[in-house]
Amino acid sequence: MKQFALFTISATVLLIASGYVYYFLAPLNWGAGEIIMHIHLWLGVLFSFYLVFAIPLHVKDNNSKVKRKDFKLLSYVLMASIGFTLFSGILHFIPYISYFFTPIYYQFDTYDNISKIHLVFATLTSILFLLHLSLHYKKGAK
Amino acid sequence: MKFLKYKKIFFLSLLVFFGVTSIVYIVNPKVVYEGINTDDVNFYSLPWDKEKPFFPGELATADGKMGNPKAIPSSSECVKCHKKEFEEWVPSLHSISGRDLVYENSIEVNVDLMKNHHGKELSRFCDSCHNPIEVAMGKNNPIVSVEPSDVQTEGLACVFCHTATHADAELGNGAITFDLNKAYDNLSGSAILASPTDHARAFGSAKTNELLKSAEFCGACHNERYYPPVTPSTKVLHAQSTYDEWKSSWYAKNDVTCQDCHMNYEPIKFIGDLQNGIIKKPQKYSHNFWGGNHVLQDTSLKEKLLFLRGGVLPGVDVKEYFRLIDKQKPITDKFLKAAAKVQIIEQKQEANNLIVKVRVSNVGAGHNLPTGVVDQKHMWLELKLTDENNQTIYDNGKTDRDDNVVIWAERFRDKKGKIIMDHMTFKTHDITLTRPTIPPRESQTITYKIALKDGMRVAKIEANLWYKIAYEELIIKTLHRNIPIPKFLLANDTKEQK
Repeated sequence: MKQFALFTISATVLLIASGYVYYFLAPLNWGAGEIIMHIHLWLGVLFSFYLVFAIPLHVKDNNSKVKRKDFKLLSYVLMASIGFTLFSGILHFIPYISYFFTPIYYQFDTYDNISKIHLVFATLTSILFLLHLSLHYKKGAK
Repeated sequence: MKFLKYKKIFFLSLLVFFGVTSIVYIVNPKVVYEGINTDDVNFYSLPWDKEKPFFPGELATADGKMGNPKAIPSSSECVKCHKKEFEEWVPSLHSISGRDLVYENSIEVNVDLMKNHHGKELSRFCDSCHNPIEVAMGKNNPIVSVEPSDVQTEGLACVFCHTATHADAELGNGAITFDLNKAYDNLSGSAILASPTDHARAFGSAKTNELLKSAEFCGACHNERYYPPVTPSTKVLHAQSTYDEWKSSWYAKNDVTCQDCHMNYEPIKFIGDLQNGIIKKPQKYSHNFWGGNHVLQDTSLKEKLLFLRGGVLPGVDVKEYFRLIDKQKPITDKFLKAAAKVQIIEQKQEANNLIVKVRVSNVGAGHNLPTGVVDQKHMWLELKLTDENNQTIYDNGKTDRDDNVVIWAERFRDKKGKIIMDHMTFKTHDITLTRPTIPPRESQTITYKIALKDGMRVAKIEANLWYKIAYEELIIKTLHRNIPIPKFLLANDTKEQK
């Protein structure tokens, strides 16, 4: 449990920070922005794999212990938000990796929309995750 | 709150991130490719307007600087992702507009003609449309100090159109402003595919994309005027008015643009639909640029074609090159044939004369027929009469040299009024038409009065509308070869006499 929380917190911080830096600051220095993006993408993919296995285990271990309805609801919303974040992130990763095989790419507008969705859900996920953690340790949360 | 027991890992992660980011930003300084000031191009000659480095062409760069050969990518870079578009563009005339051997040699001959009058600088006029990237890099200069690069050989390469920000079709003569010095990506291929923001900055600005859809963009090159110093004449000579012809036509009034036909995936169907009153603009546009040069797509010429097209383009091998050209050729032929219609509308005997009326109609082109610089591209009508034994009793227009042939062409004339048949632009003093070219959706009726000998009986009347992309004089002048240029049958009609 502690390891799960530690890894999730550090990965979330790194991903949110690198994502924001790329989204807002890359045009100032595309060369540096590219390295940040590579880090963001690969860390994102690794973290996605981790979450796909870790979340069901986490839910399985803790679902029965949770008594508060608001906490339960928040957890489900968090999971949905994680889902959207990961999915929109993977949509960015597919063209990235496809370059080395058969390039796949979308229309500029599609990229723009995916990026915005990814940004919004990543931000929402971070806030919900913070709430999840704070409620988790609130007296009587379970 | 208890969860704050994780604050250490939170702050540690942030610290790691800022550490890594700082190192990345310090180690990887901003890559900046900038344009080159005209003064910094060694020996760059500006004999006329110092503020217009590409004069007498009307080409301009957005930053007012020359292109940087180190930065501007070849179309062979674009093919890595845009294979389909590249393969459509390769067989087109746009890919070889600068390297086409007849064109290149024509430039050399014209430059030589004006060697003591800034001939090389004058070539900026032609190359502003034919080879704009080379012009923008400062290569059209008596002393070339610009390093070579692939993109300079690719005529209307991807980066030209896809960085354009402004076009003035009324002005013509290559009046396109393009942001050439932003035509590079800072990101690697895979990174571009993950997030093409930088790619969009370089090539796909909203302004550019909107401009590329307009007829005005094409018109900036497909309207051509000669004025000093290009011509010794003091008056403005209208050498090519394709855009103007379109502008005053049914097509412009109905928002059918150049791209709708010339960049259509199904151009013949589209033209057929237009003839039936159906205007259904394409959802997607191709990069085939269907046009009128059937010879430079004729793969039966084998290695001669390769020679005429100025060799193989970067990013494609010979076999593939021929395959792509072969794919385009049949549609080019059909495209040409879709433009015109010939009808024998009347034939009657008056005494010993046979009166034949032939109607030539522009049924499929959104500009006049013929169009372009028609001192070379020309169209003529053949009328042939045969008797019951299939013996030819009259044939006018078998070749474009026949006496009194009905021909649609421009005649360039020198100072003495002598016709220039070999496209010596820089000595052209006047331009006249042999007869008015045929506007879109209009016709011309030609009446023939043929004297028949006694007892002569006409069994068949045949009208053929021929087209040729150039006169042999041009080939003699540029390639020093007397090669007949194949004629192309645009349309025909036959009437049997009972």
